[in-house]
Amino acid sequence: MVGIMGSAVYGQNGKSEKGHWLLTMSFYTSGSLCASIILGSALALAGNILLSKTVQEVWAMLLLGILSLGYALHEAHILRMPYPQRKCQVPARWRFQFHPYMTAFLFGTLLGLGFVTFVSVASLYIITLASIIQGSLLGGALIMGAFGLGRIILLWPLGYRAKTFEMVEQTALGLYSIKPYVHRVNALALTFCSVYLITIWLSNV
Amino acid sequence: MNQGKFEKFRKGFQFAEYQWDFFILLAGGSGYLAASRIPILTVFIVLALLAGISSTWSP
Repeated sequence: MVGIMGSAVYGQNGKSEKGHWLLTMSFYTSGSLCASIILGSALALAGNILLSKTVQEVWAMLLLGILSLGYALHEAHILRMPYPQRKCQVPARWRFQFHPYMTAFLFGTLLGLGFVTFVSVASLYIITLASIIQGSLLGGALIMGAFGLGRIILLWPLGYRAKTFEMVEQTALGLYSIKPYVHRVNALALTFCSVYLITIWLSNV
Repeated sequence: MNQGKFEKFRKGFQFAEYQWDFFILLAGGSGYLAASRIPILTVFIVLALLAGISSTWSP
């Protein structure tokens, strides 16, 4: 993910060109947001078609609460949960096949879809299920749209600061050094979500 | 148990203890927020934003 700043964004010679970078990042952002919003709406639509109102409002909350707790324990390395993922990266050949703006848009689109590449944290499974069960197209679009926004939000300041490939590499190394904390924060957020959902379920029963 | 092993065990135990304390505190806080009727969509959106930001660390 962080490598994208050094491949699609910085062109052929490795030197930062801010105007080119801004436009490339805009295409990348558009791709990520469009894909995630469309995915969220589609998931919500599928939920509305396939699930009854009672299932959405009552039983799905309990199921999601239990799954949130399971994945919180998974993120804390206490329990192993199913973790389906494709374990693929964005196709590097696109950099040579398409214009850099098109490449950035396509990279953003793939990453905004979430499941097409590596799944970094288990929270993605919970928000995907949340988009299905929460009951409105707008809600689904907002949830997955927030995911798409989150995917690009750190790249803007990090990419702006990184002027050469060496700086991109340093930034990537700095990010990976704090990766264990990312899982811990997600474990805490999923625990929060779990207790919240189970409390809501108990108050509705 | 030699000094090195004991030190490793002690550190591991301290970490686990800290983690569980935090989990219990968080569970209490989230239960309180659920009782306060924070909209469920807000909770999902914040979790989604966090999941997106965390994906910056994917390979």
